[in-house]
Amino acid sequence: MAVLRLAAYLLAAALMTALARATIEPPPDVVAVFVETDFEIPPLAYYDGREFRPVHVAYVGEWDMAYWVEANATVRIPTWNFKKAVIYLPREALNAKTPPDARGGILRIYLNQTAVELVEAPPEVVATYSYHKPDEVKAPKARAEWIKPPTKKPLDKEDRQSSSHQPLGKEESLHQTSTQSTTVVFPSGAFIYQQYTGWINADGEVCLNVLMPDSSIFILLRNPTVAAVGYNATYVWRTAWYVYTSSYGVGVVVGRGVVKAWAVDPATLDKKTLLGQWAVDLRNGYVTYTSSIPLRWPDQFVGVELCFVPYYSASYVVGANATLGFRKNAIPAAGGTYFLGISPVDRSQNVGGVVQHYILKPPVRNLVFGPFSLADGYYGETLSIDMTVYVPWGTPPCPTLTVATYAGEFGHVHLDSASFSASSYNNGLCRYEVQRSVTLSPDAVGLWYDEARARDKAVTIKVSFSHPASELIIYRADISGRRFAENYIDKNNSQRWRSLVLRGFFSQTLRACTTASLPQVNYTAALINIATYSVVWADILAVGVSGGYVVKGVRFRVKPAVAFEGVNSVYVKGDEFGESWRSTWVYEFKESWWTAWAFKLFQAVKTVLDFFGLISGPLSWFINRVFDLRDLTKPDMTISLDTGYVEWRAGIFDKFYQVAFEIDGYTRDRVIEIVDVRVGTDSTHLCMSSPLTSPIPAVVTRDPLFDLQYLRHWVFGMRVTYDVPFVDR
Amino acid sequence: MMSRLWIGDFGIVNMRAVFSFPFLFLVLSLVVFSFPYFVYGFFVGLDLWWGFRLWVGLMGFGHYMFLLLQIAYYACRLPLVYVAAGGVVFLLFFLSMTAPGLVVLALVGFFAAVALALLFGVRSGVFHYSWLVAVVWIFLWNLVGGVLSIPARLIFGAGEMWLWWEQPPAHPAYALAVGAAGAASTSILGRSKTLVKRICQAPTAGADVPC
Repeated sequence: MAVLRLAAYLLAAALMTALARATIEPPPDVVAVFVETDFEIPPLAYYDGREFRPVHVAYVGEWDMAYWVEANATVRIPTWNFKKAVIYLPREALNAKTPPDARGGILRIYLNQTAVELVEAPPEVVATYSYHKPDEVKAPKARAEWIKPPTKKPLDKEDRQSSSHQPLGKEESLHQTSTQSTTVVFPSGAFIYQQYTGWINADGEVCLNVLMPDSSIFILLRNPTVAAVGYNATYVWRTAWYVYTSSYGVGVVVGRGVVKAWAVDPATLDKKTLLGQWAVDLRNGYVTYTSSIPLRWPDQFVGVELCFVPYYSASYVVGANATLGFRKNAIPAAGGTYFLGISPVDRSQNVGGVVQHYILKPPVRNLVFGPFSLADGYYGETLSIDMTVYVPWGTPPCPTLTVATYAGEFGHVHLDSASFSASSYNNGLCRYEVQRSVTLSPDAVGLWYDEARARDKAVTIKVSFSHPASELIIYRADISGRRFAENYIDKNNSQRWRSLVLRGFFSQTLRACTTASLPQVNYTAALINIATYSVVWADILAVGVSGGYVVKGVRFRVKPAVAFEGVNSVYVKGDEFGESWRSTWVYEFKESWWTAWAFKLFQAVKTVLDFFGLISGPLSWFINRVFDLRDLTKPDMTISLDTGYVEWRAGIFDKFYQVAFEIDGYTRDRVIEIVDVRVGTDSTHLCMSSPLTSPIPAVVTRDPLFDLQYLRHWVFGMRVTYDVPFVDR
Repeated sequence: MMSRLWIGDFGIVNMRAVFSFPFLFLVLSLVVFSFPYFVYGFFVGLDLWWGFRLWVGLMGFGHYMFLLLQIAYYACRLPLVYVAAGGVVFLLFFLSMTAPGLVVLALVGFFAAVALALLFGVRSGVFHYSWLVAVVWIFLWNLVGGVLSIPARLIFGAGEMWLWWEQPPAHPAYALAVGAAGAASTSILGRSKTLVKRICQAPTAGADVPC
């Protein structure tokens, strides 16, 4: 009988899921065609008789094998050669012809009875593009040919130093040498806008709030949607948009994103006049990028607003960010080296057993580091790679090994290529010493930021060899450079920093908790961000998770364990555990009065029976199990004073997107080790792959020269006052 | 009549070892009771959330069946209607984990488990058709079982932290020990002739059943 009921339950659940997934497709306003050309496809536009209008290009990738260093596994990754793309042609563009005076390449696409001519998008056209994985392409293939070859490369493969719309090109030399603290440099900065979730009526405009620290002291009551760019912004290098609604199919244009530049009052941020606006069509379920929006008002205090206007009434999730080019001053104290996931050693410090040594069977051409996030405000970044590579080769002489590095969400943006000669040949293996430092341009810095924060994604570094490698010794893979404080704060903050915020910000891809299956880079399901920082009186560990997952449990410890002795206590999200500690949770599970009442009454009865020793046998066992079930609905935390381990789990009905632990006490010589973070949904359950360790710096606040202002530059776009900062989702 | 049952739990008939049905019930109760605790990891491994709820349901079912089989030890028969009633208990436990407010169903399920088991005992005449006697029996049974399970409680039961994604809410061995204590308690109560005479009896209908 129970089996029958189970089967009925399963059937009902499957039916409901199927119903929920049924979507309504609006009449298609575009024709999607898949084209493959000889040249790399740049941003494209069509001529409607009066002006050039952009078409959306979605580059189509191919699968390739890579060795994922951190996971110690071979995985499939998508790569893009930019010669294959799905082009979304508006119906009105179907008979478009190129005007005779058009510059740049011309791509002719042959459809059934007609041909469409597309031109390389002129600089004034705001082009949009996105990326398709190989399996995602459903558009029919069309023949296409370049009747005039393109002059430029695709957006992400552009050589920015020589690009025609590179406003910073002139100052590039300044940037390259800007290692002094007082030198003015020109990095890209970025603003993230708060994700909007909810119902929007057709043509109803929703402007996204600028993401800012969650501080009760620091709330802009007016115009929270305007990002104060100030006087010295020069252009919007890139905006990244993400829109999703379950009511329409993926890939359908569901609305437009509008970038607005306002002249604003520097004191109040009140909008004065609209200086300019640019609209881009947004496709459901895609990240859409735009580029090349100039901000040419040096005498105006500029504010940037990002708004979404849907074409259909539905419930939407909208997120966006904007990366800008502008002037800033660097802070020398904020330099550092950041390892890419693993922490290899310098070759000079190479001692047995310390370096990362990998045997690759079968040999692979690609290495993947990450994914990880590097937050806002970097410049002068150098990617350093030092490794020994063995390539199987029949007979000498060994071939030249070309090593290319890529960055980006999918490791798709080309950074650098270099060739290496073999240093020796032995036993059918060519040995190469691959040592390379790549300085990342300011725009690549902006890319870090975009990729990492748009839709909570991360950055991957891909190292590609021209021949498959069978053995690797990695001595070093890191990024070094300097950081900036978050732009908004610099411009609008008149108050001093009251808290120290230091240490690390890590991102980790989670994997299935059982060792049986490994997730793949191309199926990245969830990324957790772990921030460890210190305030004057305590250390804080904050754990956030993306992609709709919820935090189910955290296990960490403080070394040495004696740190917990005495009056130290652990707080969860600012409230002491055990008292009113549920009051500030993101999601609160409230028990109905009758449920609580029933359990309380029964608990009282059982207590009395226990007291008289009347109920201690198998029956008591049953009852305890029933109460165990109820305990599961509440979060639980245990602290081991012996080992320093703190174990926290959420209640089964809780939905915590972020949790934080505040550990009181002295901040000297302590290390926080995050052993495990577990996240889950109703059906999946993921764990952290490897423990992270974050040392707690010794900060001498008694030093008379000590200035808290400097320490804010360790912050990754986050400011802390007395509250633990949390960002709304 | 009783002596036939209590002389031994198995006898030699025609040179063939035959377990008596009551003894089979007693042994089976252990298996039914501790089964969920042993299979927990497997079910959760299949699918965490579904597996977890399924396990909670199994646990309720196991607890119910355990009580039922204890009674059945005396009754020497197991009417299908009472087995089917176990589905209700199972369902209550199962549903209790589907929504926050429904946790109370676990409590209801527990009461249902005890009440149904006793009802079975009373109806089938094990407790002389008297609820009072049934309550006294379950009190004595729990008391003896509690004493017997003290060592297991000391070894496995204390200071446990239930990380529900990692392990069942109790050590499977502890569950087994509690189950064994319950079964032993039933057996011990059954061996006291005075008690059996005053409290428990095999149903008259059972006399016709070749136990």
